[in-house]
Amino acid sequence: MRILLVEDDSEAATYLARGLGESGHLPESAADGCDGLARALAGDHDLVIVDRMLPRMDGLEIVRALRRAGRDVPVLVLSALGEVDDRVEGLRAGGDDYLVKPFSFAELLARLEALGRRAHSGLSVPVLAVSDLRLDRLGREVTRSGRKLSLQPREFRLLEYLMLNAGQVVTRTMLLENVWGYHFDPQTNVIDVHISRLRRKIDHGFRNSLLHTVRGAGYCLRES
Amino acid sequence: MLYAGLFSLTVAVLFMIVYWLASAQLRAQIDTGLVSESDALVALYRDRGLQALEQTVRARSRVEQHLVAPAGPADPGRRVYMLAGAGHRHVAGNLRNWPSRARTGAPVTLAVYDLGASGQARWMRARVVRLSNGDHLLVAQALDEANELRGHILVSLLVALAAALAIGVGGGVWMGRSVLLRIDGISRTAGEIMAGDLSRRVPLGQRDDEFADLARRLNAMLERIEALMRGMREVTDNVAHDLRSPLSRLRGRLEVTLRQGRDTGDYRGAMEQAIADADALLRTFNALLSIARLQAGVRREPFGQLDLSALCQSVAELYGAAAEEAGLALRVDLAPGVLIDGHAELLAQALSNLLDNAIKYVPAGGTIDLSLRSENGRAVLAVADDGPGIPENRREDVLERFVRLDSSRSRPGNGLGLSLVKAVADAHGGSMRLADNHPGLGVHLEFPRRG
Repeated sequence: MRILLVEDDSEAATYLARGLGESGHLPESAADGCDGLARALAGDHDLVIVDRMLPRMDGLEIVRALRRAGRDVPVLVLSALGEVDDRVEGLRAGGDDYLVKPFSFAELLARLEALGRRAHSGLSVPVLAVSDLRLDRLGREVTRSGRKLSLQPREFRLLEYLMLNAGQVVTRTMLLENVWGYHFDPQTNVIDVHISRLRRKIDHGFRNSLLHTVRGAGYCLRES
Repeated sequence: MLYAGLFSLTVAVLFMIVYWLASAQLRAQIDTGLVSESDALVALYRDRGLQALEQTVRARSRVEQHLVAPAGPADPGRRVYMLAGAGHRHVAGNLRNWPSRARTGAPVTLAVYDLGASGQARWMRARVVRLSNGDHLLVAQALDEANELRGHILVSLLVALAAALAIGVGGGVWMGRSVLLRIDGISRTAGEIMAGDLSRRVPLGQRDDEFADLARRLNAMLERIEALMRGMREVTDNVAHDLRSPLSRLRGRLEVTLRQGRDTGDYRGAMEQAIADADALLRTFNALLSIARLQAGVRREPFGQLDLSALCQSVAELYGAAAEEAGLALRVDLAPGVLIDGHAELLAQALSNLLDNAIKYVPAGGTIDLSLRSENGRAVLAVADDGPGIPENRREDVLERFVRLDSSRSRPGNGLGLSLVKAVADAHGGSMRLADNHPGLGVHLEFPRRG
């Protein structure tokens, strides 16, 4: 993906750009708000990462200007402001995701890929499929190899989110945010327990497992 | 001062108008007298002839002269008459020479010279009438009296003006001084506060007026600022005190690895450990900040209506699996539709901390009860377990930041969990109570119900 990175901290920008390049993306950097907005308006990026506090032009102002100009490129807002109200403000300005500093690079990468994917894959696909696992979003029915699986409503939403991001790493915080709607950091392994229960239901008794743990990052649903 | 000036100017203009009106009135009075006198003389001439007019003029002149100066002919008197024949030649009257500026028509003001011994000119109002035989009759009246009266009016007006000025300026200065004194008090307090003494307050003064009101409001504001500053100072103190030791642990570990590490495996392990340490530090830091903000009461948006029952249900569902995995039974008993004014994320975090704690400390086989009831207009949320509990004499302590009853530090956590729960309860106008669950710990949260 062509990713525009608007970040004034040059050390962080260099490190992020290098990481993005190594992950197969094409990063482009802008060091202040005005430059960032100009590049975002002129270029044809798949994704924009903006730091919230920038010299010359505030990060949220960039997002608002982009939206006013009719650009719907996915925007991920990075910020040192992590209170709930800050996050709400960031999303209200038109950001698609909000990541609080400091974050692990794996977290950023997972979110970027989810965002880039969301821009392309239609969210309205009625039936999701990974290998022989099928999820009917309208009929609320899950089958594997034709055999019906019975899932709790929350397990259904968890699987739906994993299938929407099939092949991508999904972090625990992404799951907590998107499936449960919470932004705090639980101290116990609540998400892991839900995942292992879901895994038991969809992988148990089948030859190849689909739900994988990615060490140090999160989970990934894919054909092995 | 500006107002005093404006006030004086207004008064002065007002007095000028009064003076001008009074003079005009005086002159009009004199003119009316002159016109009626000359008209009467003309009527006399018309009815009884020139002879009678001459006699009357002489008689009147004598009377006037006698009134002013009974001893001699020095002064012709206040009113002068002159009957003049062809070429303004004197025929009769106490005025001998025709004033050059005298004209027939409306009365005019002119200077008359040949009066009295002094030979000084006198200002007079004069009316000239032309008789049918071509002679002229002049009747004039000295303006001395009128001028004198006008002088009196002017003097009294000036005195009044001076008094008004004195009162205006004096009152203004007095009022200004009292205002300045009180503003001075406020600004002195502000100065002391800026110099670092946050406990100073604006003096209220004796009178209960707008200034007292302003002072009270300023004091309330200062109270709030001081509380916020105290909160911030506490945060920095705590951050300094409680982040220093984990930071030095982290530093020590890195240093030792740098000195003794033999292979990449050692380094890798140390780095992973360092990242985990950093994450733990950040969690502690964030929790501290959240608690401080809640305690300081800095809130951007007011709390909205919230269904506490639904929120408990959702958090219970999130934790149910983890509890079961830990060999614990999570029993949930929620009264439906309990509404409060609250912040969903904060309340969910608080409840999650309580459930986290229970799962951490209650041994396998135990039970956790989550209940929500509505009691006397209050919502009562309780998390009770049958774990080890907290001895009564330590219950106060665990609400202090960073206090952990297991000093081994073998379990994860930063000792801020219950402090945060208490801060959330307080921020919602509620309360938190630790109780004995015989055996185990019961945490009761009470919130005011909405409506």
